[in-house]
Amino acid sequence: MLLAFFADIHANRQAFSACLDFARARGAERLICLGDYVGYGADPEWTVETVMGLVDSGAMAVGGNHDNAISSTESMNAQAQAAIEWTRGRLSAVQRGFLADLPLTLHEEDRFYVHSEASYPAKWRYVQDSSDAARSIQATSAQITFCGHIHQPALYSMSSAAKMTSFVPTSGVPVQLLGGRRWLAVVGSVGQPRDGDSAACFAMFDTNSREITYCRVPYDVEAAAKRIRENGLPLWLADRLLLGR
Amino acid sequence: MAKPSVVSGAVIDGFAVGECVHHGGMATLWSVTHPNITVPLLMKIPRVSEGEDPAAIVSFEMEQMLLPRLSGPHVPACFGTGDFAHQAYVVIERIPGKTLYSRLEELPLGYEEARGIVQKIALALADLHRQNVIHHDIKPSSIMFRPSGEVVLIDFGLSHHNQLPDLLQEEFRLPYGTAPYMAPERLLGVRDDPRSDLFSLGVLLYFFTTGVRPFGESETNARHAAAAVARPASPA
Repeated sequence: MLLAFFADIHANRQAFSACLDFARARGAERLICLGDYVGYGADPEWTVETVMGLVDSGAMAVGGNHDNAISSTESMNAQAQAAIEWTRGRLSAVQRGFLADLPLTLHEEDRFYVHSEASYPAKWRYVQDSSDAARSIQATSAQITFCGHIHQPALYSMSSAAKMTSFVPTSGVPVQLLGGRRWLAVVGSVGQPRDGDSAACFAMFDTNSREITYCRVPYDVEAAAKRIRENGLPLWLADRLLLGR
Repeated sequence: MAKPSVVSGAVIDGFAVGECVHHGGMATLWSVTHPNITVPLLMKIPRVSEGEDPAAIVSFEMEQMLLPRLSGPHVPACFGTGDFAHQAYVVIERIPGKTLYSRLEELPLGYEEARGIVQKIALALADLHRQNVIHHDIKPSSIMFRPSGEVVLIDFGLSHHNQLPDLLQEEFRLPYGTAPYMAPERLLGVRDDPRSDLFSLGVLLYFFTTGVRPFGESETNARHAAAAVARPASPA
């Protein structure tokens, strides 16, 4: 079965639409959404409605820190907080309820799904290096953990001797996740990439061949940035989409 | 010696296991056949029992990941792989004949013959590098020849692929490889420069034309590091 993983969509309608089209055109059979559907971007209603529709059709979804912030008093940095407060007023009660009820983790077969990392999902720690990845891998019994949160694609593995490897994936090149080691796949960000590439990022995993492929999808970045400016959100949130930062 | 994890007569994923043709430090090699494949085949099985060198596992994983990606006349064709979850193996085309190691007692070779051999290895390396792979263990025992004369590179357990995770990256404190052929940058942990293979090829050319290795016979990295900064004697 071909799985598609989307993380950090951040209310970017143009980017999410492009990634969904790309994944479906390549035969994705099951969609897994890894959190942060809202925040930063200017189309939260459409994005949450779309994710709700996907879940109704069999997709899986976990919650992220921005989704959690809609119904909590937890403070974020000034620009993120401004976007959250703006978003809160846009969402319906049903949409807010959907976000509030999202689980922080899910698992199926030998795979674990979480927005941030597995050792303490509600602490929203970033996986920034091999030691962060090792902590997450050791917190589960899953062979593969899929996560987002840091907005930069990465692939970590732990050998049978508990030695780590880290790797920045090449778009479009499948990597076989060998059965003799455990893996942490950080799938990159759909709606606000921060690795210097403005193209939307998501990952596909083939459960038969055990291959993961990171995908970069060019989309109408200017239209997404324009929506942010039109709605009076902080201008940097528009500019950073163009820069991929 | 560890007990092999397969026996002659077993059938693994459709491959019928024949005789064991080689017991190496890292792996055993078995002659195998498959009803749908006509070329001669070898099954390589890593030595993974307790007490074995962990390098055997990691280098096998690299081959498991790399070999199915490689193509062309300068690598053995790959016909199947098996995971550690069941029975770890790779099945590759069996290249007839011996490795270049079998020529060592004839050294030094005449310059023209040595140059011809090295030219063929260089062509094979260029093809490998074009496929984003650095071999990292170029030496006589890694080199075979097709009946047509083309070089076939074997043993990719220490290799690096520029677009795949490098499983050896953090596994060992010291660089793994064959010290007399190892490029100096390998001692610094650099694994992504194709010129490391060309350094090894230069060592091989020097050795084959003079009968001695340019930086000595030392098998230890520290002694090799000291030798590698020294200037070898001119082969002329």
